[in-house]
Amino acid sequence: MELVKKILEQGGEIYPLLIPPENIIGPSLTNPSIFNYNGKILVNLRNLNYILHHSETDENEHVWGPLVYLHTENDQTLTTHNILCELNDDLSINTFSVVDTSELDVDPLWEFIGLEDCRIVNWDNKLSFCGVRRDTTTNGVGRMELSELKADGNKIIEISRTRIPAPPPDDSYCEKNWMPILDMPYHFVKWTNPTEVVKYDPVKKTTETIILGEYEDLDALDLRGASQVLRMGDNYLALLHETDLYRSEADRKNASYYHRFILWDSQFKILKLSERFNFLGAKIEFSCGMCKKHEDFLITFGFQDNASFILKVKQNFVMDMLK
Amino acid sequence: MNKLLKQYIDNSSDPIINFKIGRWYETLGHVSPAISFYLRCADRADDINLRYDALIRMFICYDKSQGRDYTSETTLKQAVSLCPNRIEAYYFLCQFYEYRGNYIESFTNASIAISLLSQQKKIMPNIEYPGNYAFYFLKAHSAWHIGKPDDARKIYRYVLENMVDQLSGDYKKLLQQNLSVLGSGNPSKSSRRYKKKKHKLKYHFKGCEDIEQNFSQTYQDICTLTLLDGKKNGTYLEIGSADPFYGSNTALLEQLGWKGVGVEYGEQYYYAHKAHRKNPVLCKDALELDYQEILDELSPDSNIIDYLQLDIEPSKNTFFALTLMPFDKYKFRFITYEHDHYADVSKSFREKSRQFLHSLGYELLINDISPFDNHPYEDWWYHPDIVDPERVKMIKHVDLDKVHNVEDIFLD
Repeated sequence: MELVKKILEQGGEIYPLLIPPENIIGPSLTNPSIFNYNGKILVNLRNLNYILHHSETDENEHVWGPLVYLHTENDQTLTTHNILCELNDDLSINTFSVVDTSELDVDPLWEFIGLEDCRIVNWDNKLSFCGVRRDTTTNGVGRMELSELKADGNKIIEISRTRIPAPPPDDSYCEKNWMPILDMPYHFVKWTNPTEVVKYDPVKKTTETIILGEYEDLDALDLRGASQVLRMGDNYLALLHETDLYRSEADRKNASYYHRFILWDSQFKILKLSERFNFLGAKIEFSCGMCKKHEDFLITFGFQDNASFILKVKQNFVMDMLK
Repeated sequence: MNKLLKQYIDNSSDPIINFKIGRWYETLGHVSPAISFYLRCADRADDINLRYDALIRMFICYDKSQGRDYTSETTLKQAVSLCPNRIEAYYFLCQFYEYRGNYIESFTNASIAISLLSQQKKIMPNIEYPGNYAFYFLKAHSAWHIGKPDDARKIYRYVLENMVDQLSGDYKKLLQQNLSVLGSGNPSKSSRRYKKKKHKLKYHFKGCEDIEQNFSQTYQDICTLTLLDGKKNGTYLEIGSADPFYGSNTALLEQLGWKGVGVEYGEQYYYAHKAHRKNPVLCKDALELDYQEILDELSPDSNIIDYLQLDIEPSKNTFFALTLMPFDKYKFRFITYEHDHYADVSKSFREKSRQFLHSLGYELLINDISPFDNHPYEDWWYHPDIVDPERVKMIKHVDLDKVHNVEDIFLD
């Protein structure tokens, strides 16, 4: 199912998210997150230094395969910058600023550089990004980090950086796509099936699992995190993504991503899972954000890691998908 | 965009709509999403030409993104493999290789494309393709860099003779510049030097038996001496001196006691003259000199100068230099005027120079001297009042429908 088509049929709206190319560092703006910050709609655009080449029919594979990340030839890093934007009422971009991380940056030790796939949160009145960083060890160990932001005139500056351990024994290789629960500071849905909710203690700097549900037979592939987790009455709502990783006939890496809405009860027991969908029919799409605005949800998603869009959809439409 | 996006949402597999969205992003300068949509178009198009167009546009976007040369190149090669008879991919491959100094690849792709030009019906829009002549420029430029200067010369002349009216202003300038720089070729290829031991001069003049060899590219020095019957201690003005000996029209005259002044803009030649020749050379712009002042100093007692050489590039400049000569005060017995008609994109300056010199009473001695086949580059003139008509009669070869190989005129 192509979700956007259904949404537009119901009176929804879609817009590309773009800022002038001369103001971006790498060529791609993708995997946007969105947040309603006391009535201001904020969007983070992930600015990448690579271009994704994905031949979805395998008809025009790159020499290196159907799905390849094309860095510049003199830079083998996968580097992310983040650009925080404020939207106008019509969902166009009003202001934007490349987040200045220079105060806290250290020399990267691995080739994935920067905070990736940030979700925007506001916990304890601290506007923050919450994403994965993999450049602090020589083998690319990934951990979620909280990156607190502050506005300084027209600039957005990262003023603190907190690396969040995994729950004990904290020996996993890569933790990513934890979904921040917006009304529960420092709580994340770490995994969906079985649903695992973890809590980070900023004083002790430890993380513990506070809810671990039971595995359910959901007729779905691996369910992974996408948007933040929003309170909906007594329940919680989020967007998930589902990956189908496979090899092409010539044994080359390929993938399809799908998304689903999920509804949990207040104890994070899964109530409903929507059917899976694409947004715009591409095989690689990825959402990092959803927020409420009046009677609508605003959903942001990346298209083939190369483009970004924002969707406006009636809340009822989404909730109907979960009936 | 909203309209396009809605069309896309209605049918996200439509290759034409994907192409249009790619174009929309590309026009805004967002190459990364443009590539996504062009690739979706190429993946879904049944029309092989549309698929080809999408690959070409992907190349343009990859190229703009910079630093992805391998991908850029292989995208074009995929386009070639899809439609080997279309020329757009060759055009970009030529430019791609030329820019990176890979001239043999540029030359090869230009050669292939030129062989396909007659089959092309329509070139895809918005690729800044100037016209078929672009391939000739690319091939000629590459030819020079892979050691084929004669090929380069021939190609530029082919353009000059067959497609000059199609050229944009920039390409016309480039053609003029390249033709001027390439000249008519290595003199050693075009004519033999006179050597006493090997050759016999057809027309004798006083002292010719003492001359061991000449230096000029096409016997200008021998003609001067023949016309003036071996005059010693003559005077000359040489505009565009170049090398002090190799191809020089005045080195032999200087050895015979002539006084003269040269003008040469190139510092390297200027210093070579200073080191190896007696007569002075001015390292100045030939278009900014006061020639009356120079000639007054050279020839204070006579208003007759024996020899004037005009040889700077391009044709326009040589003509302008001619107009700067103080003809109202001085007469020149013999003039070698380089009109470079073979390389004159405007094809106008030979005629202008002829009208100008005729109006001053000069007459053609030999027209359209060509160092080899059909490269008319100079006219030679004399002033009938101050040269021996018998000697003129002996040498004169004027046939405006012909070019003249002077080696045949002066050597037996």
